[in-house]
Amino acid sequence: MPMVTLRIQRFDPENDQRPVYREYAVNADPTDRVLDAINSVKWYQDGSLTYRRSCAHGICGSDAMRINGANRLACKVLIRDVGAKVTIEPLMGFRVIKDLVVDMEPFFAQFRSVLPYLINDEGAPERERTQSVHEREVYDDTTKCILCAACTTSCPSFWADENFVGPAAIVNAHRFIFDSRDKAAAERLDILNDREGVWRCRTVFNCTEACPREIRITKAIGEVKKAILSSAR
Amino acid sequence: MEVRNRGLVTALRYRGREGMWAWLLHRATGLGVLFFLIIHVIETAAVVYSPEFYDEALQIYKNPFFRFAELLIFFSVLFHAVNGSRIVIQDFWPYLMERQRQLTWAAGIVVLLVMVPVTWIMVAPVFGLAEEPGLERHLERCVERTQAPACLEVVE
Repeated sequence: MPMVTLRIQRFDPENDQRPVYREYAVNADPTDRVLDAINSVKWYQDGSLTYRRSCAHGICGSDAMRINGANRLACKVLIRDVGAKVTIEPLMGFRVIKDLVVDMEPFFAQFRSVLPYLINDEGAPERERTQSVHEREVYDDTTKCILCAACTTSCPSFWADENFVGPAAIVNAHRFIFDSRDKAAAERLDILNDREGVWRCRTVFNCTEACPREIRITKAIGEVKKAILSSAR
Repeated sequence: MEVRNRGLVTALRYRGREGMWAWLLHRATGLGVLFFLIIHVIETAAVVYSPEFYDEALQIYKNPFFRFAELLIFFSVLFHAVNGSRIVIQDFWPYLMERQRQLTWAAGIVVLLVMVPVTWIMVAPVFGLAEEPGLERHLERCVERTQAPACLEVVE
């Protein structure tokens, strides 16, 4: 097995004044994932290395981190795609709790602020609420979000302003705004029609490039912007 | 100590793609054009308040260094306009954002295509490779107005 060098940003708030980079050499196949290499460090070299991972199959959204300078899921990137020397750092913008673990609480607060659930106070119909294929298609892309925060923490507007609601929250608002069964689109558009809402977006496309689910995030944000403008008329 | 990884150096190290570089350049050229306009307004106002200073300023601008600075200003305005148009187009038709990388490259190519002849027109005279544009008309005018400051050296 070829050797791969992992350069990992470490930070232990109890002992470190500032983050430090430590290098670890591990054996890894080209078809191994970056997560396998990180596991190898934790299990056989330094048990104090701290990071989140859960399903390890790209669906729980726990192990988003900066890999060679760009946000990725460690469980979805193969060693052969990152080379023999890999730099691994925590997501940007959120407080580092330890090593690669950041405080996601503000992220989930952003998420909750856009009412990310079905709102429909009309009485329950006799059978299910039907939806045409086209009606379902309109918001199909934004149903794929796994809340990994790769998009929000890749956004320069968010780096500059932690109060910006962020791409992930807008994606989840989009998912319900354009759902024909939902009745609270106006309320959500009102929440996002704010200087800390969609208008902070500068269409940099870092979110779209970072999304491990390949959601066309900037496009979804653009659709929300248009919906706000046409509902104001 | 609180660590957040959000400073300017960290931000510039983020490996964004075409969109991020276009956005950064859009910001930089926007600030550059603003800076130029401020200087330009002050210096043009001097023609009323202090004509001597104005003439002196124009002399300074004849230094070849300023020809390159002017080229940079031209690039800034051009890039800001073309890239800005791309952003406006994307905003009006969000489905075009599915082709955002191609659109960014297209904007870059338009800028490059315009820059090639403009760079030649502006820079070639500095190296004596071409005649200064408008020189003939300038000389004709100086026959009539020999005392105009811009004509003094021509007459000499």
